[in-house]
Amino acid sequence: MAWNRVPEFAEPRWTKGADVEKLPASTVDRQRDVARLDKRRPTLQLVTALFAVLILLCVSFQPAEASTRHRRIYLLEALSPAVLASGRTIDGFKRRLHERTSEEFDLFVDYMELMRLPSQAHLDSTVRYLSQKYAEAPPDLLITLGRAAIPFMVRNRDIIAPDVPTIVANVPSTAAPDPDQLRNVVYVVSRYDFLKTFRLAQQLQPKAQNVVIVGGASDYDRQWLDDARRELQPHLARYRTRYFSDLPYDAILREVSQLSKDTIVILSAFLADSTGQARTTPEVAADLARVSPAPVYSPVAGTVGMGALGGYADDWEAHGATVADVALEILSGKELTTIPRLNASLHLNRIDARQLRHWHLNPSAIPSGSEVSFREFDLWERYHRQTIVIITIVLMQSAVISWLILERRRRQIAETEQRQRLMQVIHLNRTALAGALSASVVHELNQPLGAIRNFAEAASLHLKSNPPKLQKVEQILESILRDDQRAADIIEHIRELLKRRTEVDLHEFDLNELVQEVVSIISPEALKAGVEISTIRANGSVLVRGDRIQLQQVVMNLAMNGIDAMRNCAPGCATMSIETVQIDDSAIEVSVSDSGVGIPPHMLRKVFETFYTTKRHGTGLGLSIARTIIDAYGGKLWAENRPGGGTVFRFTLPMSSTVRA
Amino acid sequence: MKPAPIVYVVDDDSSFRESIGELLNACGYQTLLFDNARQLLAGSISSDAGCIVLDVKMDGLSGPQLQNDLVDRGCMLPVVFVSGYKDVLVAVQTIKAGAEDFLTKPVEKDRLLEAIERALARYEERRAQQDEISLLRSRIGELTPREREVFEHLVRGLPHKQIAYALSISERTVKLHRHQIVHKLQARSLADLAVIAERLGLLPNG
Repeated sequence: MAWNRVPEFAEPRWTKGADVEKLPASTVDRQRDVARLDKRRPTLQLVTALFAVLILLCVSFQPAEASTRHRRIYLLEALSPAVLASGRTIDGFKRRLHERTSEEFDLFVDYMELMRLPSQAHLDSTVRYLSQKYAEAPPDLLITLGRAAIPFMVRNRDIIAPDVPTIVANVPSTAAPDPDQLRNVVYVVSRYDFLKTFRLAQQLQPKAQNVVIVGGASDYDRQWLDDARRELQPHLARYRTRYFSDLPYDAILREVSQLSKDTIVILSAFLADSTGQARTTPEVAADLARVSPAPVYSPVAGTVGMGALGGYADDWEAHGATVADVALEILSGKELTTIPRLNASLHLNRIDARQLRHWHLNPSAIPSGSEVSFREFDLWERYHRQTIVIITIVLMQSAVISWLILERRRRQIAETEQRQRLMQVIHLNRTALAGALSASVVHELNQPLGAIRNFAEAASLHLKSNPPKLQKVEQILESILRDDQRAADIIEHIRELLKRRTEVDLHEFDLNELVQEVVSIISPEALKAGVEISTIRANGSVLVRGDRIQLQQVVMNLAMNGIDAMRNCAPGCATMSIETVQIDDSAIEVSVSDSGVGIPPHMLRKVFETFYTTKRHGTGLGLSIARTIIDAYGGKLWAENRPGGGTVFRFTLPMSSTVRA
Repeated sequence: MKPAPIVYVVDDDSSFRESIGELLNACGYQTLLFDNARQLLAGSISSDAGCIVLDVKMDGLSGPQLQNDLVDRGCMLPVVFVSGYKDVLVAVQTIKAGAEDFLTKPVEKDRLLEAIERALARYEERRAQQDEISLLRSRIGELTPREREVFEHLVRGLPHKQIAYALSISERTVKLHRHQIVHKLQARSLADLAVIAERLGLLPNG
């Protein structure tokens, strides 16, 4: 709530005739957002004040005789600096001057305190003071502020500034006297439009039953209350109407706090209560709003935003700006008679959106053309450009992040797929190997099966003999078991070869054993092809870490290739040697050499390409897979031709760190 | 009682070798098992009745090679091939080279035994032939050189007169020699003499 901002208006009382007046923040675009101003004001004030001091110092050191002396504008406020209206008006005035011209003026502000010090003596001294001052430094333009200045001017103008063009500002048009009474004067009028304020209240609170008009007890306040009475009376017939004015401040607040909800509270000018205690109207609006069970309206500028829900009101700074516009016209040498006698700044229905929400009033009841302040803008309304930028950036970042995540995901999937495909291809190669071996496997399997059958026949004969040779049978059964195991082993080998595996199974194992195993698997095939296989093994165990089946596959591929290369060799000339050699502390080399047809030198690399094959039924996968597998373990696979004919395929593998001698 | 025939089993596959051994033992044969051909050649082959059960594909000397070697050495043991592969070409070659049979593994007991029996019968036959020939040879050896000359002329179908002329002896002497020859060779007629000569490969070609 904005009520806690009241102390802001306990502004310092400026001394009468202060030449160096406080320069409020004139450069700030004074949006009605008080909260925002709060933050910026002190520093800006300080900076502008220093700046102004500097300017004024420069001005004062200039010689009086200087032909380029600054023109003087005297601002004469009828009341005190505590009246917010004058301060704001002066702000608006100065800002507009600054905006419109580069000319520098000497500005003087005097506060006549006509209300707080109503005595004749004070009046006399003020007149004396001013006339003396104006005589010493004659004004080029005089601007009075406030309604109370009119009677003063009517009476004393001829004394203090007889021929000075004068603007009378901050007055209601009704207060303007006859042109004869006060000549050579233009007015900038502002008025407290009670009727339009009341109409606004009616629109917002159509069901209201009561009207309460609150006003101050000073003469000045009474004048406004009279206006209110006059304007509103014809329209209050159906309302129970009460005026709270000739009461102490506390009493007023108490009365207001006891109002019913269906009340329209209208605050008139309030500069002092019945005890003479000075107030400012906006301050009163804040207090009323705090205690009132019903919304408070006021035509007094500056109350909206302090607690009043709304009102048809002027804006003091706009008013000041209009004063400046008129002033510049006069100062430009324009005849006063050619300037409209009455000038006015914009009066509008001004609404405090916070109050509107507080009282749960329907925003659609607000008349069009109203100025609604303190609308709690959501982020979008307030910072929509920044919001767009931020949202765009966030969206773009999110998009990029999502894209990256997606990309990563896709890469992972692709990698998984690739791995699976590789496993599939490896498996395909194994099945091809198994296919190539199938004839010899059948042969190999037939041996123990045939043997078992023979043994069984033999056992059966032994049992039939008289007497049955049980001991013999027992021996035979043992042989049967042995051969059954042999058959099972063969099947296990094939099953291992054909097993569909999706993951690599890393183990540490002896490469020598693996070579032996491969030899045992392919030896039937070698025998069939008339190939003699020999192995030369490195001493001890040669431990490597890897997937045993895959490495077995590599050696089998190489060996089967060798056998195939020797299909057409003369009997006895087809020899294959599989060697394991430890080449240093960390690596082992396996070579598979054949005495076959060899590979043309320019093909030594090409043979490792996928789908490159010279065999009629080859898949072209064997060597490329062998290389893929060896690469995966950080090894190397290559082919060389042997000097004496034939080819040797070699691959290296890193040895496992835990090597046994 | 005649000793049981010996079956020589040559196979590099121990399961097959031993199971066949057991089976044949159970069937009443003596068996000698060899895991390669050279082992067989190195050992002495008994002159007793028998046959060889031989694998085709083996490390070192293959079955057919061993078969040839044995023929070269004049070994009379018939060979029954038992191969792991149905290789028609090899089968034909071995049969041509005198193999008794060509079986493929796994081999049925009855077929194997039949083949072995046939092989043993063949052996007996060969043996009988061999015996007869050596008998005839020894009988021919009993001929005097002159009788031998007359024999050779007789089996060529020359008339007595020509023989007498060629040998510068009388026709009567030729008849005498002929009588002696028929007696010594235990032949019944001149035709018998021709048969004997043929068996011993003494007939000139053409």
